[in-house]
Amino acid sequence: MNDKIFEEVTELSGIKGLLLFDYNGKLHTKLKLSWERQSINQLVISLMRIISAYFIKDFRVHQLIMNYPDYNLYIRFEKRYIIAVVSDENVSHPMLRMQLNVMTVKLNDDKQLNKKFSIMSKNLAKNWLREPHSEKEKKIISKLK
Amino acid sequence: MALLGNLNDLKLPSLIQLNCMERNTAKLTIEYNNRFGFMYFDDGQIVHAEYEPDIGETAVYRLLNLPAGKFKVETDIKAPMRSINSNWSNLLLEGMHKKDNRKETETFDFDHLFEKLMSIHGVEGAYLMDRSGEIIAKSPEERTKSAELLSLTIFESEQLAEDLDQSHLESLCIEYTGDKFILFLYNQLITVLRVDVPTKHEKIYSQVKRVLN
Repeated sequence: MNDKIFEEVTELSGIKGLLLFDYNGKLHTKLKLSWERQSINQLVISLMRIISAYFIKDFRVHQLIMNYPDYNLYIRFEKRYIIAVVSDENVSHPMLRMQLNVMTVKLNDDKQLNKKFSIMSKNLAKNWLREPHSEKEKKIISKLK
Repeated sequence: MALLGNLNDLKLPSLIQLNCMERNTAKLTIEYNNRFGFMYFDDGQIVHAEYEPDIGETAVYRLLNLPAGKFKVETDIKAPMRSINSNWSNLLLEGMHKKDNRKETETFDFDHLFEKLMSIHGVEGAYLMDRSGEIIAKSPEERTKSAELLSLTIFESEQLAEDLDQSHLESLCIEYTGDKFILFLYNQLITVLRVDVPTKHEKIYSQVKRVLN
């Protein structure tokens, strides 16, 4: 994938990195981010479980923003892919939103590219929720069904 | 022969202790406001509990929170399934701890808090829940059907905090199918704000923090 498509976002002040993955959890792009593989895996699993829980209830998540003391995670859920942007507190949110809008329009227009990505389905959502998890997590998920 | 009584005369924790220390195998039925809850003992351990819609430990905690009720103990009745593996004394202690916490939150002036939160531009509704998605208090007429989904979202985000070496999750914002929620972690509770979709999360964070602090 041509990384230039992401430059307008990754070059914004305060951006620590960008990830793009599909609904199978397959990572397609990783830019700037210095996280270890384990942290990226955990992020993908956590996000997939969240969106799957909403999906089986017929809700479509559009965006999620998580605020931690040292990071903000800004996540966009598009039809065929998910973009996660890691930023610090200096990021301009209106600017980030605007550049993400531009970037997603470009990505959505790229038919060739989108063929590579898996779309979300109920079976896929159930699979993500079926993955091994802690007792506490099992309890929360069982309440959703 | 069944033992019948009223929870005003014999409190549920005493009833549990009695059955467990006697190493009973029994079924305990509790009736409160025409609703029935069940707890099963097997060789002195609580092995299963039901109180709709919950089964297992959550059902035990909810039964311990009932303010009154009638009970019936029938001995030598086995549980239809096993939903509890914790030791009975730990379960009882945890249940009493939850009850104490609930008492503390009950003395808090929620009306005043919600009034202040609802005065923030863009906030349409608010409620407080614990981490399991149980509602503690809510603003008038607020719908809380998303509480369990939001509690999973918080759980996963906190797991992620651990993995990223972050001390805690401060807040999160989620937008889905026509609804947008901003959640703040506040004194072990989660403050859930339903905001109108065009509201930018960063615009209301500082205002909400001022109210919560």
